Amino acid sequence: MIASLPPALVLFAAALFVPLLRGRLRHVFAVLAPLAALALVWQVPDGVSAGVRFLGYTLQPVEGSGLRRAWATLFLLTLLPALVQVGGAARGRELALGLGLGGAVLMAGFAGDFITLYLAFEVMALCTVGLVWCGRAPEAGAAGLRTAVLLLIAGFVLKLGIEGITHGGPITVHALALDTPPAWLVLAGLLATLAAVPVSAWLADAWPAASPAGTVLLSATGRAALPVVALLFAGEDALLFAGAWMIVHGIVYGAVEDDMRKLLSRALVGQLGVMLVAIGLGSEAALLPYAWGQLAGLTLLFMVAASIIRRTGCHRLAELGGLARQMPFTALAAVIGALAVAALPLTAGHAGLQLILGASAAVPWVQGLLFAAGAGLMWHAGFRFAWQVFFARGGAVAMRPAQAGESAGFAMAMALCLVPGVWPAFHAWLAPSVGVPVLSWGAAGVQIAVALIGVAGYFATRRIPGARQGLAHELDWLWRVALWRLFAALGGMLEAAGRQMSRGQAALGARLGERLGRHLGVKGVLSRAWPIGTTALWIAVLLTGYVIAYFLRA
Amino acid sequence: MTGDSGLLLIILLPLAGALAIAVAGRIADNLREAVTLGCAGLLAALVWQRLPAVLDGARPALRFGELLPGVELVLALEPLGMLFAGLASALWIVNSVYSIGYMRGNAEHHQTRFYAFFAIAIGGAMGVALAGNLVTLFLCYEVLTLSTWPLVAHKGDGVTLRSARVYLGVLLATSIGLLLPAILWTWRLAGTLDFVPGGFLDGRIAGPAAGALLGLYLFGIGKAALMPVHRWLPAAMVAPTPVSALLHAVAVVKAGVFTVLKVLVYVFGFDFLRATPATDWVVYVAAFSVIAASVIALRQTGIKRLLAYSTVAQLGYVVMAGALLVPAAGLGAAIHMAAHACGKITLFFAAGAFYTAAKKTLLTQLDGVGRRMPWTAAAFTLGALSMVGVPPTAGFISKWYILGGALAAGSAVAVLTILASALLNAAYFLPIVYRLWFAAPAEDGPTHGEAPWPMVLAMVVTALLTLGFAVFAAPLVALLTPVMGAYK
Repeated sequence: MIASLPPALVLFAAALFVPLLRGRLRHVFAVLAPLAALALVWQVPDGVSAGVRFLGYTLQPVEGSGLRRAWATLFLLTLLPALVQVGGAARGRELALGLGLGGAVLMAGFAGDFITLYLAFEVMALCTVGLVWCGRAPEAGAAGLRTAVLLLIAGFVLKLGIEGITHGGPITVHALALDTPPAWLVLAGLLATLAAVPVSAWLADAWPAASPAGTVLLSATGRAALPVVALLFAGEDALLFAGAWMIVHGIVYGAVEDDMRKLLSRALVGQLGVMLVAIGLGSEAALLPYAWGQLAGLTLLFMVAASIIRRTGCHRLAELGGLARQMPFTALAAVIGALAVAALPLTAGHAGLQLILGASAAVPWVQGLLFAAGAGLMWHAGFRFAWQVFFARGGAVAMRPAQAGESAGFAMAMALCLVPGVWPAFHAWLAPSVGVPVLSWGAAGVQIAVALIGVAGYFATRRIPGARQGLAHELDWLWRVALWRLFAALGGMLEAAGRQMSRGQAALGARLGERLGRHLGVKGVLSRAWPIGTTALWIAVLLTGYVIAYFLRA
Repeated sequence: MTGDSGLLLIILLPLAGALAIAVAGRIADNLREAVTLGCAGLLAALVWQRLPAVLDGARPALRFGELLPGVELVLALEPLGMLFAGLASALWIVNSVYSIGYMRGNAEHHQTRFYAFFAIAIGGAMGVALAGNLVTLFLCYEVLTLSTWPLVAHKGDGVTLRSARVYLGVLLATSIGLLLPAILWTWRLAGTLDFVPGGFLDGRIAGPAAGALLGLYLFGIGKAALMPVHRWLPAAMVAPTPVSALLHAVAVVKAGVFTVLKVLVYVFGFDFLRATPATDWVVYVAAFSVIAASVIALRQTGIKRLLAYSTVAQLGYVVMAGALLVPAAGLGAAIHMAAHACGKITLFFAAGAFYTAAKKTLLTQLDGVGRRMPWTAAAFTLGALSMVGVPPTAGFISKWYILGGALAAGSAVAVLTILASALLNAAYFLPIVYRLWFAAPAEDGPTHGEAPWPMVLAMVVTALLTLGFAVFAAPLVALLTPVMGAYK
């Protein structure tokens, strides 16, 4: 009975329950929830478990397969250290939203039909907006609202596509060819949540507005669409272009951000670009190993950033430096995280990256971009973040003590980054369909060389002051700036036109009134007292005119 | 009088209840409230016990004989009427519980008058729901208009009376000036006014004349608040909150869109309208109403006015969906009547609770209120999410069908309107949700807790209905499919 419970339900139930608890108990409970879910994930049998009637459809909320279980494991194992680390500092509602987000991720991961998938993404959208709003910074309100609008549009587009597909067709999740509008809509809806073009900017807008703990929870759960896109659209060329744009976005905008979490968000966009390219190349087998390192590594870096912000109160890179002496273990975590994000040898993502690079050999421009992405990630996540904060020159900072569970969280996340790296058969053990990769020393050497280019990039540009503060807009300029200006201009024009019109009306009214007054007013021509003779004369004239007209007609 | 005389009982019960309330009010307040609740419970039982038979295809009717040659009073119960009567009778119970908390909590005067006219209004709504032809419907529609006027004007001061005059003026002017001529025109064309599944005007009117007749109906049914005849709805915001709930969720606007759907389905018929291009304008007018009302709502600063414009927009939704003339959208329109009722009554209950607990009426006063009034704020949040159409709330269910219908009808206007309205709804409801839960409360603000418990109880019930609306989706579809046609 318990074994057939959908794993997502455990996290949803925990999300409802966790705000009622306080202190240490809440922390422990929040950590136990994903462990319980993990136990259930491994009870999910292959194939569809049960049907639920909804809106006249038979939904298949839980469909198991080796790959689905492996992805669910990855998401839960990244959520776990995140909860261990921030569970003490996060507010009850943040933990609830984080667990709800985790539940939605599992729901999407095991969804056997499109409608369950859509519902999962809507829950994710709600929890994401809630987590952003939990950030106490003044910009959290507006950023959350922008995120809500964006994710609503994405959800609507997804719903439209799904209604198009399921109207007449089967509702079970199946690979879609991009030859019908509904399939494009589904792809667009999913990609928007992954910050694909043209909405790449929302991640760096929304995530850093959340509280530090909230960003960590978002990072641990925010990439649920990846396995879904891989399931539906493997091998589609459109993904190559979307991914390429995101890689460039990551490199360009990562170079100018000064806020730690914004920098990491930009790096994340680049990372997601690499993963979309991997799906576009059709190398799904490489996706899980690569994504493992990326998710674990970047979540670890967000955990590091959260710890720094909480303990020092600083979030700008320009204000930080040389923290390794005061926070040696955190520095170690940052180094491991950065290496994992760059997918260097002995980290979790390395084998996957080798496979992806191998698959890209046939498409030179893609391979070139992938190399650029590798260098960019090393440059931004590795040096602009980890090196700058911990090893660059800087003085000692007054620091609050570490939160309970912080070191444990770091240790767990580091293990997550390293274990599959030193044991390459790990992923094949999780999901046999992935297979054991054959690693090449030559490819490893190339990756290290690429990473060194990224290092060189950092040292070459670090003296150049960039657009360090404020917003760096991408295509979001179109709606966040241009559209507003257009609205303001239109509003101004309308207002001016309205004023003009009412002035014109007033002037016309005044003229009309004056003219009428001249003729009909108290002293007007027509209300004056006329001598009776004049009146008689006028009557005679009119009568004569009438008689003449009468005779002329006859 | 021939037929099922039990139908008459459904209308007479609340009217008799009004008398009993007036008498009981002279004896004791508690007795009066007990009579109200008893009546409401009994009415709901009377209405709901008929549901299984209607689901099985029974269509009981009651004919009273001719008033004038060819004009006769008829009651008939069919699925749409079952939906409306079931909804209004069930919500009357919840609304009465809420009213008790509100009227006592705010120490309102003339409470007996309030409860009595409320009961008469419910009687009018039952009449609208059960009307078997256009004459009966028109008479009950006017009873509803007139009986709600004292409720809207309850406060009795100058501003209130002026607004109540707008309310009465717009509703009477449209119904007598447009709806009545439309009914007479229909009678002259067809010689009958009885509702017939599939309509009875096919072959009796054609071309632009059909478009004009439909226009007379749509704008004549002022209660459906299709722009520009929506002005009465924001004007009626001067009423006490339980009355606003009655107007927006239980009876009045629902009577409007219900009548529109009846006219579309039982007078014109989907097939005839589909074959008559001169009636295509309805989708555009309704879409305009949805968008324009939402844009106006975006600019409101008072909670109740914002909710009023939101209602105008949501009513436009029902009309638009009905005018798409495909089964899925028709189902969506009817389900949206119920879904919107659950969500909007919750929102109004919450607005009234903010007022009763802390005299808060403006959006800016809601900062951080979620901490002081968690139940109310949670209910408001659910209602707001339902308006946006986020799953699993009620609004999602109905909009799912409407969107399916828009796709089936191939109407890009409808699809874009649904998107735009969801965004606009989000743009004016989500900032309120943010204020309630995430904004810091004003430091010198008053300290207060929740509103009186009957209000909270009523709100929690309707919020749970909004949240669990999916449970009703399958029975509703089963009920309405004979009227609208099968989905898919």
